[in-house]
Amino acid sequence: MAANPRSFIPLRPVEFLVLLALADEELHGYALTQQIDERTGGAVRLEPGNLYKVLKRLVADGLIAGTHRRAAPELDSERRRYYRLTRLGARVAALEAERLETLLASRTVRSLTRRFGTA
Amino acid sequence: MTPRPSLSERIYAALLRLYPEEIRRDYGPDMRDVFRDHLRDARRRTGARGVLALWLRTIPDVLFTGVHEHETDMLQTMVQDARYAARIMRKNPVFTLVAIVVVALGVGAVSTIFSVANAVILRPIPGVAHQSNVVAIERTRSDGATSRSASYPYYEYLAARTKTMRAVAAWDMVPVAISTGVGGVPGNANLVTPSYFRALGVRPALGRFFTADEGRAGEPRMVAVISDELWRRLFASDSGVVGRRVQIDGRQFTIVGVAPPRFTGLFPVLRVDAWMPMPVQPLVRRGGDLLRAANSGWLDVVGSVAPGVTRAQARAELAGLTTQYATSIETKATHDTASFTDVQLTTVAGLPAGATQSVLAFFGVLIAISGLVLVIASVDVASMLLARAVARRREIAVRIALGAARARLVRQLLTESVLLFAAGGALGALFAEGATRLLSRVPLPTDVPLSVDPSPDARVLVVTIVVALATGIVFGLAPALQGSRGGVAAALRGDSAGSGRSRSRLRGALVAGQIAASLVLLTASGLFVRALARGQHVDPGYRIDHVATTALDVSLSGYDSVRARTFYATLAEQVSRIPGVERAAYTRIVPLSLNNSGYGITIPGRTVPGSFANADAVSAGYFDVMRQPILAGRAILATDNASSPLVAVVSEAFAKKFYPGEQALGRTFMLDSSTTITIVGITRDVKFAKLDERTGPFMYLPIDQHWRPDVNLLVRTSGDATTVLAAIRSIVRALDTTLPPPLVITMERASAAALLPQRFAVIITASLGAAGLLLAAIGLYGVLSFATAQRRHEIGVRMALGAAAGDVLRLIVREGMNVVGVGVAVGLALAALGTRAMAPFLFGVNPLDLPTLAVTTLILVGTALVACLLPARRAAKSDPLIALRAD
Repeated sequence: MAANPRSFIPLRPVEFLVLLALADEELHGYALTQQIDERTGGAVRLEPGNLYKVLKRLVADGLIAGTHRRAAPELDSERRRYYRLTRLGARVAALEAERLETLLASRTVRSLTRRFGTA
Repeated sequence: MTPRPSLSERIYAALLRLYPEEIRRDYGPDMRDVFRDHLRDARRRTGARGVLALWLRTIPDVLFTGVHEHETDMLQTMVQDARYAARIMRKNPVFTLVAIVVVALGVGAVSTIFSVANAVILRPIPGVAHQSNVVAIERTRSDGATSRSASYPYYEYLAARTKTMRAVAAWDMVPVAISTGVGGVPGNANLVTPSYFRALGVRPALGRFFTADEGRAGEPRMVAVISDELWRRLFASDSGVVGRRVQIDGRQFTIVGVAPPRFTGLFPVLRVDAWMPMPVQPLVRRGGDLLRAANSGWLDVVGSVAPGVTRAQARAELAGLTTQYATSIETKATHDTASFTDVQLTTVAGLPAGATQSVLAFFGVLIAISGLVLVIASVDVASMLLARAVARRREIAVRIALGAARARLVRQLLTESVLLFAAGGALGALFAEGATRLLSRVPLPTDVPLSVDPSPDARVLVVTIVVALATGIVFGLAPALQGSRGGVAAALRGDSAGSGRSRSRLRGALVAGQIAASLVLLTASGLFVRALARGQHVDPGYRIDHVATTALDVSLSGYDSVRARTFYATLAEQVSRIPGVERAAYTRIVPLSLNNSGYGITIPGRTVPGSFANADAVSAGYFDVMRQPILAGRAILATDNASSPLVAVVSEAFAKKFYPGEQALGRTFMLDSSTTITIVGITRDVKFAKLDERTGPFMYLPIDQHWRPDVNLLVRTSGDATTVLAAIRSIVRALDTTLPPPLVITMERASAAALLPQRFAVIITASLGAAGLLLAAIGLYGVLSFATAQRRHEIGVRMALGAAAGDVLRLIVREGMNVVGVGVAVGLALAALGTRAMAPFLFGVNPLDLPTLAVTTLILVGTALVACLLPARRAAKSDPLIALRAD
């Protein structure tokens, strides 16, 4: 019954970012956008419409799940819906990470960053 | 407790309405939360600037994702609905086929008429580069009257001085015979100034257009540009055609260029085969040397507005030049200047500027009439859908019971009708393609070479599709709303006896509407038939039967004016000796040929505003030949020649306008304030140029006192005019074998063009009327058959209880005719309102013409009666036992 994690690979970058953000902890929407903003150095900014488009898709695919609304301590305990990674989501994220790792480890990538990279 | 939301939050909440309801329900609160968090963040960090930046990011976000959500949502449903509808259509092939064909007839009718209208007025002029920049320059007098016709000196005056126009050009249409050898096919040529092609932005397909040298008046060079069509027809698309010869009206012209494909001048409706430079005018166009004549208006003037110049600026400059020209010494006191003080610039539209309005109105009427056929056809299909909705009650009830939302069902049923109409529309476009091809083959009773290509183009296709889909939605809506109505329990019980009061009421309304539309349609068609009949019998004030006519201009064959006068006198004398000929005369303009000419009038000692009168120059015998009565004084006589006092016969309207309440006979007036003329006779008012013209002042001047070498011979015969045509032709040939053979025709034929719109309208509306009547009859028959079949049970009960077959028959017919009665009443009211728009094309036939209304009502009621009788008889003949057992 559970879907094959491989069938989701490759993920869209923004989907991978969401799964990564949820890897350590449950987050509500705003915290998610903050996390992603930080992680990408401001390169990926999710406005509510886009954010929930991605969340809706991930929920529909069973990679993440929404919780009931509960108090968010850092927001003066206003109630928020939190999202968490499902088992399937975690496996998919791991698979995607491995795929990227392999990709980044390739010699071409290394020579490319050496010749044209900024670091 | 939550604080009151800020303005930004409230705006955001409102924007969320852009999302589908489902999304809004599931994620709306969360999205609002995130937005509020972002907002708080932005405020804290950068204040108002941050809020602005947030909005700049948020608005595209909402718009894009909102629309996206809708798209996927709607697309999925639409595909699903379409698939389901296609399955239903396949399962009922007969229903589907009939519905599609009926829709195709309706849509095809609209599409066909629109194609013709498109070809005549809407399509851009082929080959013209920036049509919106090209304007017709028409002069207006202080009394508001406009004139298209300008003299060559006026054109030269404008062309030499204007700074607001990129190019000013003049042109004229000349009927010619064209060939590569002897004989020749009738065609049209345009006389043009070299600036003509530049003004229109036309580029040659081969060779070149005319040079400035070739445009110099007084130095005719025999060169010509030929049309693409002539190049294919006469020269087999020879790429080396430049330098070859073409014979136009018996003269050799050297071809210098070929016009681009489909370019046929500024009036694309008329086929133009060749263009000749203006200086050859005295050799090819009737009327003598017009290039130096400041007193003849014969040219159309057009121009292209220079870049960066507004219409208003151009108009102001040209109006100034026109006034200057009118007052300049060398042109003073001539007809062409007659008090023109302003100009009008109208974008060229493929028709003479004055005609565009009435042509538009004419096609508006025809399109409305074809729209009625579409309405009738659509009602047929709506009735069919409604009947099927009854048959599908059980299926729909099951779906409702299983939880299908009503809106979803309506959309499903609507998709079915839209799909039917789309298929019908596609077939209708094919139908229009065939119908326009057929129409373009209808021989027109005129010798004018036309080049109307009414075949549907992309614009027609788009309109056809839009019309088909729109009618599909409009006429699918009522059956869909009805069909998705509840009544689940009854439907599931299989209780089909009462198929619903509101349903039969809707059916009744549909049929009544159809009857009403048919009545309007038939009335319109009947009115055009009456108008054509009236037009053929309209009394123009003279008799055109038993008259033969031919156009002559011997100066084109090198005659000087002395020789020409002798020639014409001899010809008239010999023609009148032909057995069966009563009398022969000459006129400058043939009546009912749509041509007119006129002069400004000055009455000594008084000013009359708008002093302008149309005029014709005629010879002795004209009034006899035309059987036009002289009411007072005398007619034009042979003694009214160049050496005798100048005289005129004027119309009653002329006398009434310029000498109100006085005796006009014997009074004098001046033509363009130069020549004094004495009125020697009064004749009745006539319709001169066309049958539906308004009566205005008219004068007849002796042709010998206003001599020009172009004349028309008019011959009155005692018997059939066709019997003398050959004899007249051979007399001309016998007098001078070098003359081109003249075209001698009856005047009825010559004036046929005057009735062209009405003839066309009769062909169109008669076919539309027949199609509409047939469709309405089918609809009525279908609906009544269905309703009767639904009531089989009830009828069985009635008959079992002792109702006779006759009673049943009467019952069904009465109910059918009740609906028809309502339809006829509504139709008569609509006809009374709608036919008023037709009035300008009816030659004075009253749009509420009682005989027409009576006959169309009778035809309709008769047809409806037959459509009622057939199902009624079937019901009356049915066996009550079988009927009772039916359910």
